[in-house]
Amino acid sequence: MNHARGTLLSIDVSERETTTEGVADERASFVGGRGLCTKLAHDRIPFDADPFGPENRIYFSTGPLQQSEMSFTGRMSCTGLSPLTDGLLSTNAGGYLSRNFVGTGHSAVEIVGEADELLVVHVTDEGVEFVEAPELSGATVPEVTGYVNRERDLDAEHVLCIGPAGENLVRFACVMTYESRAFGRGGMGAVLGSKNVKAVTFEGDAAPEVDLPEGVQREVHSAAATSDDLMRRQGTTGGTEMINDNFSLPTRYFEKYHFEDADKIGGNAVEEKKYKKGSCSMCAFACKLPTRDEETGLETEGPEFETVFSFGSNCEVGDIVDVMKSNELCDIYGMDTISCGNAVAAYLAAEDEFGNADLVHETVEKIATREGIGDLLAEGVSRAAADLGVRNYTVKNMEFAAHDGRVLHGQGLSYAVANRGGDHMYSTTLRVEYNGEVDPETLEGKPEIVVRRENHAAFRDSGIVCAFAGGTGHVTEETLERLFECDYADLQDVGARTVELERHFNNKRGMDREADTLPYDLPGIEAALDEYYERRGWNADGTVDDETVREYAVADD
Amino acid sequence: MLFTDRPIASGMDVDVRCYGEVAAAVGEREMSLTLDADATLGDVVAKLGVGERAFSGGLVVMVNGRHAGAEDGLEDGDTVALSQAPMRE
Repeated sequence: MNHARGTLLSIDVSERETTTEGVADERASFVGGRGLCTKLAHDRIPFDADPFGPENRIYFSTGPLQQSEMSFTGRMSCTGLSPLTDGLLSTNAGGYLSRNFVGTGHSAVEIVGEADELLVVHVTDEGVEFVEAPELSGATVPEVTGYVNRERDLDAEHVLCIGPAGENLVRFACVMTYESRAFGRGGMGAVLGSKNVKAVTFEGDAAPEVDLPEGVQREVHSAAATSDDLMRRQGTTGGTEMINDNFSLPTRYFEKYHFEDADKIGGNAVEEKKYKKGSCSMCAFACKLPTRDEETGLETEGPEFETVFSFGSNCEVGDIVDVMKSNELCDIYGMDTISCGNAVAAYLAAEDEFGNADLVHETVEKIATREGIGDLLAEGVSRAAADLGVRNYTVKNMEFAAHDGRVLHGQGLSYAVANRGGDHMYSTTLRVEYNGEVDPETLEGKPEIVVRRENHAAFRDSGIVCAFAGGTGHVTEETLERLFECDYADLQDVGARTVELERHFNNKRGMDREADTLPYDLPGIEAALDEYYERRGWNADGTVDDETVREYAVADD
Repeated sequence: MLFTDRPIASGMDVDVRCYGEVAAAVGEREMSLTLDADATLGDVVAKLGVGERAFSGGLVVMVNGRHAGAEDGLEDGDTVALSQAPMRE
């Protein structure tokens, strides 16, 4: 099986020291990206770590495909103990960083400790440089990128950084790259902030040798370049009105299933504001959404569908420019648009202020700076719900994505069991329910689907392949077999081991079946949980035995 | 009662909503169709000329918010939705 090459670079920002280690066994067993770093994080972060403590570790990594010349591979993975879910979590981002990361010669970079001054860390193929940058305190994401450009002559393609939200330990702060791309979910920006690291840059020409089959790369790349898929014009927003009319577009903080003004914030409205193509490195599919409002001059990238929901329908805001502004504020301050939009929607519910776009924007800024009500909302919906007097629409403290588990029951089960909580990308069961491959309104047969799709997603994030490659049919199971030169069943096994390690880590922090709970009832959920655990070979209380994870502690390539 | 004042229905009206790639192919987003009483969803798809076209992720057909197949019948007042696969993650 093809897997990532290169060493593990460990950066201790307390001591400003680095070590380099071989991780050949881990790479062989877990491929790269999320799998590799889940294995490292599971073994190296203490089970009782404080997410904001120096003992927490944050990992950045690529997979073998980040050395390919194929579309759908401009992505990186980030792993650590989440201050939002309190569990082990991976999140990934697009953009252009991955190939510059590979150039440093490492398969993974780990950051541990807590610096005594705000730092910018430069990683090159020749070593690591620590630069004190107290002047960046409170800097926005574009300001950090500008600083790196001025001081180091590196453009945004080399930079990952945090905005004020990360420094202020907002529990859903992102790590940002290329200014507008986010390692979005679970507060990894706050973890970097807790370590007093404002930015990390990657630069080098020491990419390790990887021998990937070329024919299949060319086929995928060519098909991506000539596709007439609506996604290439409207990103993920092209299904907004279909979903609103026939499924659910959660509205007024999940009070309603339908938003009257969906057409004003959906795919056509977004496309009208799009002014050029946007992409990630090496990707000819180019589904990103650079948008501009000519009247106000506002520019942003997006909104994607999740933001159309979180800051649009769920806040009952029916003006695309207002949603664009929320999107841009989150990018500038470095916050996850899904969690932040939900937190704002919860606040609007408490204040009976749905539709007040000015209040939405004001609240986003207050969250980033933890000013006034923002200090409570920065803790996330789960920790704020009781004080706000609203229902807690989260799983494992993770705010829900748009895809409504109340009408997509398999997606509901997925939210319940996901080690990342209420996040749609953990299995994307939503896709086969929306398109009618399976009946959405039953849990019959869903545990098997969720297990398989979770494993697929975990491998996909290890390879690393963009989720849209599979969803658009450009990278099938057979394509993966050809790319990785193995049976698809082997890739499922990599994914299963990754999911199991996340579960085991979270068990050690006290999470079990009780954490796999939805804030609403689904018919048959308890039986579905039983079947899900059984299919995974886990205990009926949702736990994994120590012996199980020990079995694959060493390489079994 | 075998005989009433109600006229015997000879057809039915259905609302059709086209989304995304289907709306672009059909050239309209919403329309009302009058169909024979025994018409099926397949007839609607054929009438709109979208049955043979390739839509991203496949053609998704729903009636009153539920997935339906070409052989399924329709009732007066039904709403038919036609779209490319709405989400492909």
